[in-house]
Amino acid sequence: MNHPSIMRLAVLLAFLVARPVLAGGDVVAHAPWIEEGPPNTSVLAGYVDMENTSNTPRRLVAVKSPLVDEIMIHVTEVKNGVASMRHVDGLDLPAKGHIVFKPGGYHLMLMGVHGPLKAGDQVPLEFEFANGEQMRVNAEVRKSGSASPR
Amino acid sequence: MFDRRVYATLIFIVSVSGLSAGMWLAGHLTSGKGVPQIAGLLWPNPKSVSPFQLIDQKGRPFNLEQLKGKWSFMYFGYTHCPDICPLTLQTLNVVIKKLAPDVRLASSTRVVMATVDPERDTQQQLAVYLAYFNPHFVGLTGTEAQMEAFTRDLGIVRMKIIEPGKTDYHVDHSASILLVDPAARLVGSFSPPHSAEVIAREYRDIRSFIERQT
Repeated sequence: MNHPSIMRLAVLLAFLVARPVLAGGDVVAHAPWIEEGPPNTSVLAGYVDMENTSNTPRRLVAVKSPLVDEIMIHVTEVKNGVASMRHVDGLDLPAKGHIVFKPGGYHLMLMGVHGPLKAGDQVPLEFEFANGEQMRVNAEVRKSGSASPR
Repeated sequence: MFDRRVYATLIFIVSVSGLSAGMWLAGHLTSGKGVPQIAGLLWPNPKSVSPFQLIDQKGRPFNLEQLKGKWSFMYFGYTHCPDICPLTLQTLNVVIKKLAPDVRLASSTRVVMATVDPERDTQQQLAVYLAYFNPHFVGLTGTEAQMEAFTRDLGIVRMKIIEPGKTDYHVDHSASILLVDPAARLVGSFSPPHSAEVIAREYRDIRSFIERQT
């Protein structure tokens, strides 16, 4: 019997069954995705174009997933030729505005991913806002088109 | 704002002043007679890579002799880097694909990733990681002292950063892709953000210029 698999399923079910406080449809996550990584990495990056369709600003303060130990909001910056990765506590989502997470900029840093994720897998993500609202979406694991061996 | 909240454990900052100045000058003062204006070209007076001792991802010695004989795109990254390192390796993969139709060019060009995190990037870790991107990519690792000597020689900065309350760390590092010629001279440097199109074009231009010099 494979206990880790059962645990994983139980955690996933609990996550799906729990009733979220939804962000009232005001915030839309366009095409959330996670970059597939090499099989020996437990650190992956996720991206999304998050849109606030309302007239009320929101502040994104946390992101969670039952399939990942910890998710941090990070930004990659290049200053004087040196790339650095920094954790940010939260990100403001202006009224009628966007936060765009994309490679080389803002990204969700997934640390401690449970088992290798393959292209096509769906990863539930829960976005939490400063006003207590939550938003749940599934992010698809994708392999960048350019990543295939020559 | 968030920078203030991060306390950085500065393990080492490789001194880059002299080399950086040289690279800047070489990159900006190439309008002299006969030297083409190519953004990535470091000419005249390219730096010769100093002798070094590392191993590749198969555990074989990789030193100055192994570096010679081919053109090398050299990137410095690490396997616990989820964003810019995969992005750069994918870009280099596209560069290699763009060069592929020219067999002479492609067969004498390689991609090398030297780790800035030898503590975690063992030979085995690099082997599995790089095979995912391209089985032909060469991965280099070594002891802390060996990697420090190698990165210092090439003017590569690396800083170990520990976020507050964490035991995990990440490594800030120079993001440029270096171009080393078959005589192990540092003849080019491509600054981020990287475009495969631009790198492939400048590489062809730099290479044809340097091949005309010898």
